[in-house]
Amino acid sequence: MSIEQPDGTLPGTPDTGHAALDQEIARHAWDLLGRVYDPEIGIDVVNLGLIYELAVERGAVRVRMTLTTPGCPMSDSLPDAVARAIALIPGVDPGAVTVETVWEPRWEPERMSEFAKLQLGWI
Amino acid sequence: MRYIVAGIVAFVIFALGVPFLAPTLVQTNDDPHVFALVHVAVLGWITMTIMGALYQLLPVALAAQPSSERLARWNFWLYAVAVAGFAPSFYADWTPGVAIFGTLAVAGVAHFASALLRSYRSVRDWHPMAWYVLAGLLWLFATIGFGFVYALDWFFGWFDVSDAMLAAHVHLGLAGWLSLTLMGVSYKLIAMFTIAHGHDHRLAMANLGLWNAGLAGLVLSLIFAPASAAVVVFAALLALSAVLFVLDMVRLLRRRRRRTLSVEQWHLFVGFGSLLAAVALGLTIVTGHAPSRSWVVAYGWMALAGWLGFSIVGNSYKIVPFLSWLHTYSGVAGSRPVPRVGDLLDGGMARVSFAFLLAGLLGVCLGLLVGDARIVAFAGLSYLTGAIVYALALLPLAIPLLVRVPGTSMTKEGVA
Repeated sequence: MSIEQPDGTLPGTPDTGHAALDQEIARHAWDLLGRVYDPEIGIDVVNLGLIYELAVERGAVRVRMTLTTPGCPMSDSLPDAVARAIALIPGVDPGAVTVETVWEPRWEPERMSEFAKLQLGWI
Repeated sequence: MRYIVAGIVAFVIFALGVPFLAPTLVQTNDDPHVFALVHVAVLGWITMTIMGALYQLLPVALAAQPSSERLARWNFWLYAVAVAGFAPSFYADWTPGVAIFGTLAVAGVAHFASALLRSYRSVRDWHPMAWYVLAGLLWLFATIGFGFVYALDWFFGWFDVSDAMLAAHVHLGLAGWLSLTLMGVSYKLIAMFTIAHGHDHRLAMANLGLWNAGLAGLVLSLIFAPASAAVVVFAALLALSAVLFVLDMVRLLRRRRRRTLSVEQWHLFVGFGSLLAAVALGLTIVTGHAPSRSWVVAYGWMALAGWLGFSIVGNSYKIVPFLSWLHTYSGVAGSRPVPRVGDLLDGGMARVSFAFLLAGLLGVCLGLLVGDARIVAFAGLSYLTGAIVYALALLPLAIPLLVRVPGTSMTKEGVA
């Protein structure tokens, strides 16, 4: 019978190092995603609010993201750019990077950061 | 991309023909030289560019299966040879050439339309663009059907093609195929590029019905009852629909989150204004208030060079740099810094071109309305200058794509 620790891990599992590494990878990933730009709008995918989820588990990175509109001509290239950026992080196996494009919930302009809204002249 | 390059070249040839044919244009539209010029614009420039853009973007925009790239490539050569032979045959009044190359052009257009219609079987996003382009493609079959019969008639002399029958063919092409396609593309691209989300599409869909009813009625009445009041009634319906479309575009643009207006959008605004001007001229002509035949040419000029032409130029400032970016940088984006799509275009040249084209558009229209060939020729030179600057702005982006292999490098050393 296994007894789970409060954080969901099993006792005796040497995961402290993994957790720290995953946290570092996540921090690095958010940093790099802030440099992946929607080339048409000229604002990065983080400030546009396109990244719905970024999860790291034992070096494997999973991203759930969307695009500003279905039928966006960037539907392939932007998720590829996100995967490419994350694969550059030391300790990340490029084969363990998954980027999933989702359409629910649908992206709305309100998801943009204040910075992005300012850039576009919206506020 | 070769469709778009060929379209740019045809645009410059069309612009070259405007000052050159100024004395004819102020006299009549019913002239082989004018027919040649119009077909260079309609088939060589606008349809060629739309073909290139739709082959690439329609499947993505509508989440449908793309058509065969190999067939599209073969079709380009068929269609390009057809147009390159068709317009000069018209110009030289060479009847067999009109019939032969006209038949080839019909084959090329029919193949393109069939390929796109096949993509429709897998459409998942029935955005208004899908419906507008679908209607445009169906009108395209009617247009080339009429054109094919007229081309053969030119050769065999079966019947006299009246002005009204010619007008039916022209409206099928300009109002049916080209206008509906550009309207549909506008609904998609303007919303996408200006981040105008949440637009209510009910007016767009209702107006699509109104436009088709007006056009179908106008074409049928022009053929079967050209002297009847039905022509005026259906022309008025079409005019109302055009006004509603422009109002809906204004409504859409008011929702935009991207406030700064770009040079592409200036072109679209001129296009919408030209559509309204063409509507006013069309109503003047159909109600018998046009003082001279050159008003008919002015009507066609504002519809073709103004509404359709400026829309094509404006949209190509988005499409060509985007395709250039996609081919050049999409394989390395994320692994190293890459330019934005807008950085690829020389905005200064685009603005200079816009100024010359606009001056040319308005000047040629004025010259046609007052019947002065010198004004048309002088303004035509301005229009030609604008077209050359436009070509110089876009061809350096477009031509390399005909030979370049997409970038694929991805190295850890390349990270920013």
